[in-house]
Amino acid sequence: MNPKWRHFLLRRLTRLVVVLAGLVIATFALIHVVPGDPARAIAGAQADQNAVERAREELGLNDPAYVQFGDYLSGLVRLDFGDSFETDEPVTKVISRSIGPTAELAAFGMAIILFVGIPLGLLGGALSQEGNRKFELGFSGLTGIMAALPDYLTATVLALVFAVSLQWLPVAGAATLSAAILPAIAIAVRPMAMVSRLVRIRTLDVLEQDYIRSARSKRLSPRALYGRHVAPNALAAALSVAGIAFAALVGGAVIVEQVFARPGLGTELVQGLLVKNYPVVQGIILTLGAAIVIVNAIVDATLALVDPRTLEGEL
Amino acid sequence: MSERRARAGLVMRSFLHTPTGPVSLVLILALILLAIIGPSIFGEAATNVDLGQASEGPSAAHPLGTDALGQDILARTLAATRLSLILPVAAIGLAALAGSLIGALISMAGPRLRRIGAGFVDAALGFGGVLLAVFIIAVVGIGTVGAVIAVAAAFAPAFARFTYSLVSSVNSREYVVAARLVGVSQTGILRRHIFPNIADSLAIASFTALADGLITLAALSFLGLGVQAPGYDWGTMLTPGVKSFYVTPWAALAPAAMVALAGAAFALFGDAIARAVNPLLWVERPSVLAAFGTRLSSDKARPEMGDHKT
Repeated sequence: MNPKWRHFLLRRLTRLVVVLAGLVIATFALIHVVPGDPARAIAGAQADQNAVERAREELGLNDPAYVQFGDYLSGLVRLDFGDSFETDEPVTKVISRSIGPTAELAAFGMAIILFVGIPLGLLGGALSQEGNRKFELGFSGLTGIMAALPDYLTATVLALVFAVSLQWLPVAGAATLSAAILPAIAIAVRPMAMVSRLVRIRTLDVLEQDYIRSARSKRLSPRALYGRHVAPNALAAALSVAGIAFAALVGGAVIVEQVFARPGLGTELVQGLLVKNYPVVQGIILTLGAAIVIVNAIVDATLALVDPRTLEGEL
Repeated sequence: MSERRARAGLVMRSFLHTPTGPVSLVLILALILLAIIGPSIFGEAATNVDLGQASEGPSAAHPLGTDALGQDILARTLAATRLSLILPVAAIGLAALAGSLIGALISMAGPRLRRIGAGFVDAALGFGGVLLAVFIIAVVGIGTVGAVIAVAAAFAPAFARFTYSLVSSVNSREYVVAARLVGVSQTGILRRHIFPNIADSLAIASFTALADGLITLAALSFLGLGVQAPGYDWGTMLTPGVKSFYVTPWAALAPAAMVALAGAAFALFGDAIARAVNPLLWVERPSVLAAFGTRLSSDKARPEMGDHKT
């Protein structure tokens, strides 16, 4: 492995570990900084003092902080996030039950960004050559509007049109794969618009390079032009924001799952917040956060493969 | 003085010449007017429970129909404007204040501390606004105040990042370097050279952030984590709205459309001002809604890959 790569991977891995550690500490600290008494929350508002004390003992809140943190860490290693306050079910079980519907949304959303967003940007770039200002204005305007739509509005409109009026797709739940289509579109619209804008600009940049102009004047085949020069640049542009796009998809899923009554991590997280079910909240925030951090690291490594210039970047 | 006035006039003229400036300005003024007079005009109709007319479709008496309690949806949507605007303005104000302060501190720190601070801000940005906001809600508790703090905390890293990249770029300009060489103090440089140079950029970014903050705050209310009954904003109206899709679609569409409209108005306004203040944007590629493309929250970790033209 060449030293540049080794250096890059080492630095990137260190950053990954540091951010994950920060995430673990933040979720651990959560239960200690919440207003009110977590023991009171678990025992119930009507419980007597003894029950509250028992709950406190069970939660380990009487131990010194470092002992609690040690317990928390060893729990994480064994994939034990504690038990739900509400149902006494292990949080791991809650997460494994509800991660599927959310992962489906994220995967579908990423697919939409890749297979619709990038080609759209390429097309936009190819069509707005030679200063086609009207097209440029239309493209920017349209993607601009798409990027500004709240995902819950998109979700509402999609549900009304395709689920309620046309009845092509299910309006709620996650029983079939087709139930993921509308929510996935709803959360993908904003990041997709962002990606296709970026890809268009990048495509145009490449097409206007002097060496490309002269290569084209010497009849460079369109296939070579787009395959060898434009596509890699467009892909690199898309990858440079893929981490942000993924975070946007996850955030969107938390909101849009509610619109479609989808039993995913977002629904469980919001329910957990409403009833102060801290172990569930901790576990899900940790899961979603870790997913984002890890995807970001993978994206950066892929970007370095596609565009080795980033090896020398700030990272 | 007259030079400054001439420049203000120029900015004003070019603002009015942007395709979106006047439209967004009128929209914002209308929203502000609605926020001021809305609750006193429509407040009574908005909270007038009439179970005899619950969940009805549009009619002459109720142009957009009624919700499950028989309250007029149009009146509620209009009366909710005040809360729906004030909360994000407060949240983004807080975010801009705290974020730019943090960003300035980071850019003034030594190289080591600067790297740690920047890494921290970048890590926070990586999680995305919604997850950050939800985490903060878990800490401070659900409710109106919690949601405002959560949105402020979710947007502060973007302001911090924006500020320290602005400060660094001004810092490396020749006249600032020269001022430092002749012995002008750090605070003097900050006050005389850096702040005037970045203030307008920060103000413009605040409008774009306001559009996003409004959407995020309504989302929190929609999830039940923000404004609590009997208070209501557009987000809380959406909650029963999406549950009664089949019966009263307007109950969901009206508040959602208002969120989108208000968000677009602020974003367009920010874009138009940016173009008016910085004429350089005119000669570059046209983009009516450029503010959306370079919105704060999508401010990229790798500027050299970025979309500088839009």
